[in-house]
Amino acid sequence: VSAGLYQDASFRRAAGAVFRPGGLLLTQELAEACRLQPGERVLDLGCGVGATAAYLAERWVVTVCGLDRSPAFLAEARSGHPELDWVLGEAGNIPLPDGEFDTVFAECFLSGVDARAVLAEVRRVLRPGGRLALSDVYLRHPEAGALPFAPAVTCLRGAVGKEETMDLLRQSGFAVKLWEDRSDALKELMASVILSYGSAADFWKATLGEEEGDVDLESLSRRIAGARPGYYLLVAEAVPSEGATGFADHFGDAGPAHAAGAAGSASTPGPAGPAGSGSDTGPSGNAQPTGNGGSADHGCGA
Amino acid sequence: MEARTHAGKWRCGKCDEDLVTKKVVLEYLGHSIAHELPACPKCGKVYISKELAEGRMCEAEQTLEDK
Repeated sequence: VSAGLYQDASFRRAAGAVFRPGGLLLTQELAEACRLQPGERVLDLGCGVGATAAYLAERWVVTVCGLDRSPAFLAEARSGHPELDWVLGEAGNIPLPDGEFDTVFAECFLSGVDARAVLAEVRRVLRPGGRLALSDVYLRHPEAGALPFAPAVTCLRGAVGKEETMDLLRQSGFAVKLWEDRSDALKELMASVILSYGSAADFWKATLGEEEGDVDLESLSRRIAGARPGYYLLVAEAVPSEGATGFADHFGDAGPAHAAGAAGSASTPGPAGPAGSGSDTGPSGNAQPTGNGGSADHGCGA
Repeated sequence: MEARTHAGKWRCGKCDEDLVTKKVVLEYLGHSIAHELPACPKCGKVYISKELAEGRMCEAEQTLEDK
């Protein structure tokens, strides 16, 4: 979400510290599906104030770099976690070297940017065989039409259907290994937003801001509802280009590991609960992230 | 719960305590939504006004019902 929406007290009440559907529980599921290993290099695109990056570094002992275009978000991220790398930049022009990362996270992000340009950059900074962990808004009824009139600060304006997302990933050099509908998480966030703002129309009004003009808020709400916005989790693998050295398939023959619930499975190195869940430290709870000494000016040296 | 006003504030009819704003978890169709509502600090019961029940709570429920 944008800095403006994040600074809105009602939205912070509704969304909590993590400004997307599902919060860190869905991040944990993505990490499990990716089978993150200690020491791996992870980039978090659109890192915001750094909740995902901090969680991954602390609980999965990976070397994390967070990238965001908002200096205000990065200042808050850096203040909370000065030990991690934070980079100011555009996801469509990532200021980092080729093949730098094992995994790239982009949560509730791709639908708000030029997805084709960003995926090309993600493909470039991933090593061959590296993984892309996505969660995002999509349209369950894309035939009802896109939502270019939706507030720019939400992810709805660029949301597309499942098939369009799959096609774009294939065209961008990714093999999709996991896709799950998690629309319940979006519905819960929207219900929380309605309770905080008073109604969906009031939320759209607040998020439209100066764009509002002559927009009919009730009509806007109906059109958004008609497209049936949903939410998905997705893991894809960067297909090695011809001539590239082969890499092990992290997903094996049976597809990706995936725990149905929030708890980590026994076969993964990860934690039993998300960051901030109290006394749980998980098997890697005391470990410190390694190799994160750089500043935002120097990128993410791994 | 029976709530009644006392000097402009709501009080718990059972415990005779002033209600305080607390973060409570509302459950509906298997979903859990956290929200701040007036509640009794002693027995924990929550006061939901008619306006809240028929307004924003009704719309939130319809969202969860996918309507």
